[in-house]
Amino acid sequence: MSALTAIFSMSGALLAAALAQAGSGAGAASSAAAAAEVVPAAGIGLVHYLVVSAMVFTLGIAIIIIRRNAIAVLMGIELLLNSAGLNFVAFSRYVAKDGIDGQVVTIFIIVLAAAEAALALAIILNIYNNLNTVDVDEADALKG
Amino acid sequence: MTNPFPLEEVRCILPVLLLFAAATAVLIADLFLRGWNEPASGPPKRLLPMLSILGAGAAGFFLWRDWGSAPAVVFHGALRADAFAHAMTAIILLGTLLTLVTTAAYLRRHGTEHGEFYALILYAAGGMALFAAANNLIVLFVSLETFSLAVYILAGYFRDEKRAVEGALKYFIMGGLASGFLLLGLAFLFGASGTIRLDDLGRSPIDQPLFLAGLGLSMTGFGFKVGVFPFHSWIPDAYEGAPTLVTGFMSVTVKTAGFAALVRFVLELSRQAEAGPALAQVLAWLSAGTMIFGNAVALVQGSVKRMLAYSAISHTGYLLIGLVAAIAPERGGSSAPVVFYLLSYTLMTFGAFAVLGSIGQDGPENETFEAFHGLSQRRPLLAFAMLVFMISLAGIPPTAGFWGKLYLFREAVYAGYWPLALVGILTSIVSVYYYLRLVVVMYMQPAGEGASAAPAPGWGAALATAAAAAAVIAIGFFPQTLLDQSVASIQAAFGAR
Amino acid sequence: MEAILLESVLAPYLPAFLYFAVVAATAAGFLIASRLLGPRRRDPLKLSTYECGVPLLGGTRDRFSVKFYLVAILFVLFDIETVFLIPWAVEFRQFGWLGILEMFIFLGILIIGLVYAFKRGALKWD
Repeated sequence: MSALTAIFSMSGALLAAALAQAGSGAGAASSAAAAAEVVPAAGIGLVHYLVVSAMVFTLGIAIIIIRRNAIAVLMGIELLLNSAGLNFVAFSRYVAKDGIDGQVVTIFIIVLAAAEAALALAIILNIYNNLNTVDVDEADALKG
Repeated sequence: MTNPFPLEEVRCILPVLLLFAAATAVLIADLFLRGWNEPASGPPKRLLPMLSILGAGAAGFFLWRDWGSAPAVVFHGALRADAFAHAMTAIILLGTLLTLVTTAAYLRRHGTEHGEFYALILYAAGGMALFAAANNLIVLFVSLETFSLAVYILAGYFRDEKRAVEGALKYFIMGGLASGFLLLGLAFLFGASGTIRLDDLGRSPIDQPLFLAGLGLSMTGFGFKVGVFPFHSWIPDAYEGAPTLVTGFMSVTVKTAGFAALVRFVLELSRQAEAGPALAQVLAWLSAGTMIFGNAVALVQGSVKRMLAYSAISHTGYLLIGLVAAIAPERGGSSAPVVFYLLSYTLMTFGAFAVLGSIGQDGPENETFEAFHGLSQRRPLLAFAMLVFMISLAGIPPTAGFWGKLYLFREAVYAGYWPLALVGILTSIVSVYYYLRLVVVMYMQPAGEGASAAPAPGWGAALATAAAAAAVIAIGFFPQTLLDQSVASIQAAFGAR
Repeated sequence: MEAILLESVLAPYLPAFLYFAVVAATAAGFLIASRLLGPRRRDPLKLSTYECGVPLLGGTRDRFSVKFYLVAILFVLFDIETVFLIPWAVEFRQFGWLGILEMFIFLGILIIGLVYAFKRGALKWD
């Protein structure tokens, strides 16, 4: 139960950070013109991306804590990376307007997430070969 | 438009390139020298450790050639080639060379000598060296993942052993979680400032709430990687499960690389007026908690390997003291003792793991305190080396560990954090108990009935252990030169602190 | 007051909502129409799983060989590397010969990986 409480409080904190961003305009780094675009006429702005990213991140944490299947835990980790990637793209578009640095970061995140997934599958395969299960709770020989 | 590929700057990353090239060369040479199922020994295989030692040595040579060159920001701000990066790369290379020299006989004894092992060690070392010099978020993250992935594989290298794969899985899950936190934190920092360059992050105008959120998340990520107290849970399991010498490699080089990036990150970001004091406060609490927790739990361990794992956690706490002192709000100290301490830590911790790996085959039964009973009669030189490492880890003079702790505590008192120094001294006194327990067991207890006559460690392991022990004592008698070097490296890279 | 707020916030999404409604209605319409109008003849062949016209080999819930993981891992790794090629291709005229050389170095490293996988037998099926 405490795990769930932790998840909820964390998602609250992330949302608060996103909303604080909304309150203070597009960040001190950007000009007034950029501030106007935080919630542009089309209705979707930086805050929307931040909220979605916060949700994805929280879901990732929740999956890592709650699910016992090692493959599901791996998916949770991938969600964490993707939420950060989403943030990078959104900030790149709305805050750092002259550069594409944020988008380049996201490309690297995608590739490294794939590398991490490949490695994780190999480790999980080894776990299966040794323990005949991919339940992370069964891997409990190390204690103390 | 500026030159997109500044070739003349390649000189600055030559050590890293050489490490990666050597790793790839080992991988390919291994492929063409033998098939998968051929027996573990034989002439061509001797070539692989030689080749990897040569690669690491060449990297060391080019590092030495660049030693003392003026700090430069290269590759469009992606990397900083400064004295601090050089010093950290040197310590990482030292840990790598010690590992490479030690492992050949160890792997052969376990019948698992594959070329991939050396390649992975070198890939990890290259990633770490890059991590220590990273100046933008892309390089920071990519190099972090490069060495993390290599070390995850190494942790599960004995893939038929239950505890090895279990340790690797736990390490991977916590490491992935850490990457996630770190990355989200970096995204917020990018959003708060609009730049991905670390040195600009500390200077450009920021959006404060977002900046603080990013700082908190990325500190959590770093905390996982270096094993700070509330985020330490993976360390004992991963350390126990991994092959003993890989544990030695992990505990010294991953910690060195983690602290290299952490010091750079914290010193750059604490230039922001709002971030510095808060960061110092948080790090001080984390440091105290880590010292108390690591030492308290190490007291009750029955396995030497696990005891060393908790001791590694406690040393993270000591290292954090230097970081707190450097960013103390009123009177900033210097983070130079961190550099000095990391060097001493590399020598004594790797030495301890090398001895542990030399007294018997890997397995829980050879990692208990009983396995060390009467080691002074069976292997007097190994026992003496272990004695040196233990008194150094405990911080008893005349050893490197003593001076390392002294400099850290002195810096804390100077910066006005005397309670932190007090906690450090008290926990060091506690740590004497469990370090010297091993010494007592080695020298005062007779060997048990079933005690195996420890196998011959092999010339490489003997050489590395002897060199580490000699260096620990030598630094213990002449610490000043190294301390001056540490101070110089920090000053050349970060100004006064 | 509330109605105005609702209108101003949700108004831009009206086309999207309409679109969803039309999609749902069309899908439901097709299903209902085929149920009402179409003839129904059941025989074993028609009720079996459709596998591109190839005779059935077994159920869909079979466990499949772990070798597929190896292939999948390799596929993911080599597939995702093209992500770097696309931004490079957009700008490669600007980079000149050095840019082409750099990309070939990158591809060369990938090929070393492929050679490694090949020599290790990762591409062999048996």
